[in-house]
Amino acid sequence: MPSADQLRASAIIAFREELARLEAEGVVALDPATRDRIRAHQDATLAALAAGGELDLSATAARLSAGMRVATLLGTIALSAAYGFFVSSHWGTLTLPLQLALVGLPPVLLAALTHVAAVRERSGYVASLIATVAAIAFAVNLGTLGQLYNLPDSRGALLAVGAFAMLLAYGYGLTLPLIVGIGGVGGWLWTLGAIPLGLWWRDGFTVVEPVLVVGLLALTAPAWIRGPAKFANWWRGMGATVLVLGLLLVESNGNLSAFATTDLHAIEVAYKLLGAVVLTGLVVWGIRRDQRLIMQIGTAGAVFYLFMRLVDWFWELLPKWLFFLLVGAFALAVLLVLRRLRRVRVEAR
Amino acid sequence: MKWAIGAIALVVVANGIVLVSAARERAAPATFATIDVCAGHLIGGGTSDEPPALNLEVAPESLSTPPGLDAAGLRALGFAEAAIAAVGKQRDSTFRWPRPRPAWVRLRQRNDSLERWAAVEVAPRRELLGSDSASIVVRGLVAFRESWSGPPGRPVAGRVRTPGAIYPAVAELIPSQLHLDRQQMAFLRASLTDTAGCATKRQALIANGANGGIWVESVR
Repeated sequence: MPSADQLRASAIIAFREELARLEAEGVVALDPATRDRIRAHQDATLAALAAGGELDLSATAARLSAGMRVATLLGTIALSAAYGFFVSSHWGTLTLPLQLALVGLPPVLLAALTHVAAVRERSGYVASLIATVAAIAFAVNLGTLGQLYNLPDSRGALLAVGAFAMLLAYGYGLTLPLIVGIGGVGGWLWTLGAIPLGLWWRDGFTVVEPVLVVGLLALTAPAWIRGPAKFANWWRGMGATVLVLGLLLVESNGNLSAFATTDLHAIEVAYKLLGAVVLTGLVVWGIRRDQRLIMQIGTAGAVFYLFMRLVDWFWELLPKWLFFLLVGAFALAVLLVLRRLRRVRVEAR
Repeated sequence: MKWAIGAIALVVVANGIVLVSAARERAAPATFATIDVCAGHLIGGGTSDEPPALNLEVAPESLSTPPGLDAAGLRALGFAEAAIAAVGKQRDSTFRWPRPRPAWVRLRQRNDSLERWAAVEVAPRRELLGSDSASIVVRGLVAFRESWSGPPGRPVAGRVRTPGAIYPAVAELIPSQLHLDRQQMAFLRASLTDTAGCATKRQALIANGANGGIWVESVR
């Protein structure tokens, strides 16, 4: 997801290209003084934006950046796996102090290295990689301490790792640790649902209601958590995804509800109704607030939801060919509705 | 730098809490139990990818229901009345499997050929369990299961397995393994040379702490 700085830089470049096109077509002819003033202002703006981080000033640079993001992710996975396997393969041959050092020091050193990388390499790719490996090393640290001292597994580890990743993400504006942080803290909140139900914390993951609340909190988080503008889309995207997936799961399997001891059919019907309202709400919210990601997730969820309803209602009733004809007609209807909505938006602009 | 320092402080505090509480617990063990250790109980160690540990394997539920898993005990663990009423009967279409419930479990080694563990007592709180020099106490999850009759394995023509009665059982131990340090593992690996069964045995002294901790104090 592009940052606010990247969006501004892209807008400046697009403006220049369009202005050149208009001048070539004879639509407009700026006097040299005005053009120079605009150019100087935009150059200064681009220089200021570039000083705050690496920007893609051409399509080629953007493609290279995408490659760097993939490399960051692969590097994170590979380094984390290397660390995990190194620990496990040497574990049995080490004394206790060495074992503690082997799992305790890496998250500390990597957190410090994140700072160094963020200062020296402004693009943030290397810092993001190091910070994410640091968070994973911290998770390994806590898990291994649990094994060393025969401790029961605990939801507290999710909170600790999530908070650790969030600190590095917000401190240095790093996206990948933010995702780990949202996952950790969100997972911890999800498992809190096990407490009133008297379940072991892990079984909290089998109850959907808390994750719906987590999804809502994440969806609205940009309104009450200050931070880099580029984080807002990740919060909203992850929140909307969790909300949609949670609803789709529970409306088709009432056993996942905290209220599963009562009538399962009634629970599923209630969540089907709620799902229709929430998915429509997400699409409308996305359109009204001009948040494309929310609209896309809401639309994908709504289409899948309606497909499941079609299966519920017609799969047994209709011949297979007619059923899929109906699905095809339904997809066309969705296309027409979205096209109409898009036209209304374009005309409104 | 303050953010990195904050993250480092979090690591230090989390490690400190675990290490200090574990050290306090181990400084004053509450009970001891001596158990038999066979080669089949050992996991990992040396250059293995798994950490060195003593596996606590619960024997299949062939014994009678231990105290704490009767109707009153299941109620105390928080199971719904509908689930409790289904115990001992065949599952019908209205039965819904309840989610497992956490409990404290007292385990004792069985005198079978594999020296596996059997739950001898289950309770929602640790202080409700008794203690003796042959049993250990760990957390566990109690779940409902279904007995099956007929030949084991995949059902094939003429060999149909039929569902039997529903019964509660200790489905999982937490932790399910006890960590062994390098010397303990080296001693046990060197002296337990048979790879299966319990032809050769050694003994381990298991300590239970006052706050629920458990560890291998020594092996001999």
